[in-house]
Amino acid sequence: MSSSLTITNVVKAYSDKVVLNNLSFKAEPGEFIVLVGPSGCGKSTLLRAVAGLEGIGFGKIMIGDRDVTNLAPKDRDIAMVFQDYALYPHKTVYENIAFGLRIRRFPETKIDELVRAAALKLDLMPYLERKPAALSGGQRQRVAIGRAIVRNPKIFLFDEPLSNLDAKLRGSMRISIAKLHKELAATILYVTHDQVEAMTLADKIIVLEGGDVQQMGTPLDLYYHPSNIFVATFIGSPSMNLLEGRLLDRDGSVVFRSDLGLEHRLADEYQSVLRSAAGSPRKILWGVRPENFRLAEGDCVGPVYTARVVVTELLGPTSTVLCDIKGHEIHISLPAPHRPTRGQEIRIEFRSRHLYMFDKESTISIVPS
Amino acid sequence: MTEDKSSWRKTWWVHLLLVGGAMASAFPLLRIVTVSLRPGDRLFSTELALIPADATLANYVEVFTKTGFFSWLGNSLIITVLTSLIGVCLASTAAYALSRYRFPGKSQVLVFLMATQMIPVVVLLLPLYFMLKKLSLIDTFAGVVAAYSVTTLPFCVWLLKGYFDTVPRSLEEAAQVDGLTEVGSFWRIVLPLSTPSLAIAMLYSITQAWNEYIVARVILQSSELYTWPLGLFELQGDFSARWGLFAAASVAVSIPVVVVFLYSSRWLLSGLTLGGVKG
Repeated sequence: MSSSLTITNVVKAYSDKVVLNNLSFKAEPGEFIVLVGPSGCGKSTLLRAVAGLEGIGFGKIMIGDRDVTNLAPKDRDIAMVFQDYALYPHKTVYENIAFGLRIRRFPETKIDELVRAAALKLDLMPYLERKPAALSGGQRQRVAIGRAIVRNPKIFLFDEPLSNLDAKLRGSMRISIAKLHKELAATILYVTHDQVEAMTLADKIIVLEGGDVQQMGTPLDLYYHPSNIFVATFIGSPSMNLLEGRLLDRDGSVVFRSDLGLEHRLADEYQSVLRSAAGSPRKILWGVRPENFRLAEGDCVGPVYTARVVVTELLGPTSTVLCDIKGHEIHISLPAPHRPTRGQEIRIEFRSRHLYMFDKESTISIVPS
Repeated sequence: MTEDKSSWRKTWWVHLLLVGGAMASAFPLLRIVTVSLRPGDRLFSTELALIPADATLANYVEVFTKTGFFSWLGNSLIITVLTSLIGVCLASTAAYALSRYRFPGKSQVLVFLMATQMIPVVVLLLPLYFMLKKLSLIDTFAGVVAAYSVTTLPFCVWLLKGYFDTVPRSLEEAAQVDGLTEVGSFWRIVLPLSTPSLAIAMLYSITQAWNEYIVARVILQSSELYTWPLGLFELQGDFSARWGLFAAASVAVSIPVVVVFLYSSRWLLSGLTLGGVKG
């Protein structure tokens, strides 16, 4: 049965570097938690600490209501899927999946039943007698997942399981993992640096940077209400544009004016909450998501800007266009039929129900969520 | 066409050289076989036939029946088996620690182990003798086994450490998550994957212990404890050397080593760890 996972004040430091800085969070039973962040942010260390492969300096790790902080990996009732698969090369697929059960002295008939059930679920039936060397990357990763699910552990740990697969396979494996999570109702802690994986799989995302939790919340929470610049630019692809400027009071309404002179009147619902900041000398960064622009055609609701195209990247269904608006280089996303060419002048409309504004110095969001 | 001819001429010389070299190194071995088959009165004949016309097994019969040959062989066998087992057990555990753990003095230990290989065994003879004397191990198998083990260990440790370094750590971590202890994952995952290097370490220990003469000469004093190299030397009588017996015994003792080599070649497979982790 799946359990909750409670991390309390976990600190981990190597001789001179703090890797995990007083981390706390709780995963409810059956929750899919994704730890996301750039390399070196401590996400893998945290996962390994939960697995017991890495000791922690301070803090407590609980699985269900059992304190596992000082237990060996084998006593924690967890399963882990490694980035490099870590299959036993001298054993067949069957033996790989059965290994954990054999160690736990399950009866052979039970082992056979469980291994075949897992293999069926993961489309591995034809490969049971093969050695890992005779499998493709995707099949190996499925064996690694099979080895994890066959034991029905309290917690599943995934350490960047898809990063070694090609893009197409990654997409289908992502869906398999999501399905598996629904079927098993398992508590999963999943590490990735890929924000698409994080957005699509997670019930809750934890953004880590420099050993600190930057923000914790549902994928949409993080997308619409990023608490700081790091989260805002990390979540979403292409990344959010940031314009530097100040908030001014112009004829009784709050207006953002960039250093290069681009002006934007804040939507009505934000007028009152940000009025106090208007006229203040502190620097503000206005965050603009590329997908909040469209070509200005017909009736326009939002403000319209004239932009000069610098580079167009064709992605198929959409194009990412780097354009120049009053000296600001801004990425915008346009649907497929629009393929403006270099140097072309286009009129674009900005339309967004959400406002992203950050204090430049503290990098914290100034928009109440 | 001309190109083919000139390249053939080039390889012709190379092959001539190789054949010459092979004959030069094989000749003494074949010569021993020949000598072992000759009747006693024709030992110093310059005849080149591999199997002489009047070949006889008399030398073999005499070695097997009239000398302590089988006792020497038994002694060598005991010492070799013990040396290689102890050596490989100690070397694999030491090499694993040196490969996997970080501890103060690790690099010094490795350099020190390497340094001991630079010292010829003859130099170690005297201190070795005194140490074994203090431990009352002179004239015992234990003394010889101890001496052989310490001289073969450094090489085996280096060899195995090098191999363990190539076994991905995540395999052991996976095994520990699967339910093994650290010792368990070493025993059930790392060692089975390291059979090629274990076989080489084993072979090295076996040949070292099987053929060694000088250390055994110093430590073993009672003739009933003699290993075969010591025993063979005994065949040189005070007045005459029995070359026929010597040759027959030499051929006989080479056979087990050849058998071991042929048998162990099946373990010397490469690529055992292939496919376990993403390369």
